[in-house]
Amino acid sequence: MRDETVFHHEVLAPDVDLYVAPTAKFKRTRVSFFVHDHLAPQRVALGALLPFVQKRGTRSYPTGEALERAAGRLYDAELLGGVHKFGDRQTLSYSLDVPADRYVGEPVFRQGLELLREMIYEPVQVDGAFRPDYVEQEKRFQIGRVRALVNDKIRYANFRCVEEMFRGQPFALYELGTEEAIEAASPAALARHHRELLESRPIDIYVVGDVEPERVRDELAQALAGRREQVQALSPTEVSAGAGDVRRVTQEEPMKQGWLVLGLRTDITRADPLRYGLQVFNGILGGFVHSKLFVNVREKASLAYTAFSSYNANKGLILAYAGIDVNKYQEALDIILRQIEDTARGRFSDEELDATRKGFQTQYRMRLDTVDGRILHHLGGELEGCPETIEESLVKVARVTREAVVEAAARTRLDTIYFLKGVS
Amino acid sequence: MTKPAVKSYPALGQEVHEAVLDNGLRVVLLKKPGFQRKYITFSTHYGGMDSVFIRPGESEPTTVPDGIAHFLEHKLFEEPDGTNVLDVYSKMGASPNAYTGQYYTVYLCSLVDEFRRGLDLLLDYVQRPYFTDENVAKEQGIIEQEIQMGLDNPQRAAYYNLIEGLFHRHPARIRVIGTVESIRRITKELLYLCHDTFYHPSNMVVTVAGDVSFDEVLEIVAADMAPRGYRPRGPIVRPIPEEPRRVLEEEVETGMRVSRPYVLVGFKGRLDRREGETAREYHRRLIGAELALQAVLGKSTRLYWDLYERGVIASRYGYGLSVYDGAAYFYAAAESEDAGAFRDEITQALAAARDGGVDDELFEEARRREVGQLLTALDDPDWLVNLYVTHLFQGLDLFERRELLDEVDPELGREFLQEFVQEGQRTVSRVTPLK
Repeated sequence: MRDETVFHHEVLAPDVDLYVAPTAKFKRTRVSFFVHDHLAPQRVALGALLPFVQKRGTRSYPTGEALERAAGRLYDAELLGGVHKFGDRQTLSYSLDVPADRYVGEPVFRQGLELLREMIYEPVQVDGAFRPDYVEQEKRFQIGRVRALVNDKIRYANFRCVEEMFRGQPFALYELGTEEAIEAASPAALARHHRELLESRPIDIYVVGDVEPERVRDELAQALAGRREQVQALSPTEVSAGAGDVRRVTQEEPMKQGWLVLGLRTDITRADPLRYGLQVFNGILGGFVHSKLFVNVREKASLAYTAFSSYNANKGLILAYAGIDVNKYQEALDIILRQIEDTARGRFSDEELDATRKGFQTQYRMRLDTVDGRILHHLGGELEGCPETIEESLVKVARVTREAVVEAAARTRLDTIYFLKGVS
Repeated sequence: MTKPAVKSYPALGQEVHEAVLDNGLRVVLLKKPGFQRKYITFSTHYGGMDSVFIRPGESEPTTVPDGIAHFLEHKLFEEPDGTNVLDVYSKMGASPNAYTGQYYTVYLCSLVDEFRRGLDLLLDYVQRPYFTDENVAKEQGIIEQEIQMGLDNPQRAAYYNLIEGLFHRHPARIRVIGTVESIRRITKELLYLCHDTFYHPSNMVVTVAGDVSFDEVLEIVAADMAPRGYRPRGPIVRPIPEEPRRVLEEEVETGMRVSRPYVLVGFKGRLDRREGETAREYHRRLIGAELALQAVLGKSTRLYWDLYERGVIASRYGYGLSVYDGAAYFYAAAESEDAGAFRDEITQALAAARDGGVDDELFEEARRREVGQLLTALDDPDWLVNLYVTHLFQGLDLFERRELLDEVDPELGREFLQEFVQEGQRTVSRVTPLK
């Protein structure tokens, strides 16, 4: 039986990498196209705006409506565009998700691929620039999205904590950019940015589905490699434990609950052997419902409905967060700090350690069952020069010892205590 | 037990195994070859709308506080020895969860290893309630936080206002989670009563999606059920109050700390199964309604792009249809700076399709999209099982959909719009930014 966790890798053009995982397990086929740029204040807004403008039409389907209808006729083919922040990178993504030909009796994969190609390389333009009316409309929407961040309290509180932790650094940037930068984006600047990204930035293409690697390579080599100029290598994400003094920030908002977020930093990079030790540290602390935060903050003290922590391996960042009654701030903070301290000192049972390792192993194996899981698992490592198959990650997480958790924790510091305080 | 049956749906590449035990429990396997994950659920036909019911063998209705089905769902995880089932699963490397809807409660677990142990545990804890005054009081604290969190969410707040504006007395207006006031009235006695009423196997279904054998599933379930000694039981009656045609309130508005107004435009009507109509015919009619909505409100329409290009739709555009016994409604929603234009143009487009019929080409596209959506659901066991269970509790067969999608015609859509898009059947709910 072939190892399902391995992607067939081919280089299509300078720094254009193709990864294909043929499988008949899914009813749909996915093609995901990622363009990576460094996060920079003057670039982030332009980059984030691009996919939205590109979805407004292509050479053959020059309006959003026409493009949407073309995709709909292909049995709900989905053309997606988005933007992500992976460490100190801004990554633009374009994907096609389409039913496998054999379930609809039509060659929808090839037709869908053509739509994706046009959306990426031939968005509708006039005189070498994007259409001014489309750009203006998408700018308005983007500004709306930036303003809407405050509506989603967990996301907002987590973002604000990160912003405080990394102030002055690229990672503090909001992934969509600032209102001013969006306002300043012109149709011509966007077109230049579009060309520059496709010609000179690293590109990764993933295909998962019922496809033959050789055929898909030939089709994609023609369709998606495009013209390449001097390719710019991206420097690795900066990962450091920070200055060491704890910053406290409280911000008031008219809302019913409060959100308490504790930000921790480490110098353990994604490629570091202790990376899995830190992952397990986070898991014991707040990755699961058996974890210390959920058990102690929610189940024992009834202080919160949500109490978890998350680990960003690309940036060496852990956020522990809970949605609490504002009058219970000190009580909740004390309990959360005690859980961090206990975990860091190795005060957890073998059972907790074992359950956490198992929990991650299950999560990894489940990634094999979803297209996104397979792609993002690989991409996360690939970006920092240390791609891993799911099989490799399984082995590494299974081997994490108590000592590795404590050692990883010793290289991790509490950086910021952020409180989004609800006031009536 | 009924003889285990297997049905194969080649057009979907899906195999479905099914049997019904003597105690009435339905057991279903949705086979997923090659999947690592086993997604198991144990569901009861019981949800937030069931605040009034007549127990089998009784004649008088029982009324319980709103939010009790969801409260009960939270409480089943707790064990007499102070442990929590979530914790036990989590330590096995499995992900447990549960959710409560208007007419269903689903307990689930997603695991890779230890399938037998995971399923055993699921069957056991759901059938073995443990409520005390203390643990009920403690849960009230947690659920209060969950309620408050929901009230801080503008979409949720607008949705509550919509259902409370649309319906006078039909239980479709009940908030599944209840209110701070209603959940304070929940006691351990009421919880036991609801559990006893609705968690009888004849009101429940076990589903497994994954790469396992049906023999094994049946063997595990039968071994769990045998010693429990369930007796056959009559049906639970759920009295449905007569709901007026007109909505209770046509406009509802509330202020919140949001960056942009959020608006929901809802229309109510009836979409019940008719006298003499087969389940299949009814199902076809429902699909016709769904496709009509997509053809009028979907993202391929001129209406959508016109609202989008003019900035009337700022974001979070969506629409949906909810159908219950005795009442149904559909809605369109968006963040919009011009809620009035959104309301008027959505209504005009619906009225135009009601009077002039649904566009054939858009209806055909909607049909193709639905075929694609069904295939998407098959790749996603969580979604698939949810669809399967919600169809089952409404007396429908999910897998019939693929064939029915070849049989629907736009006229069904027009009929549906004629029922719903009428004067006095619309509620507009808005959340506006606090100054």
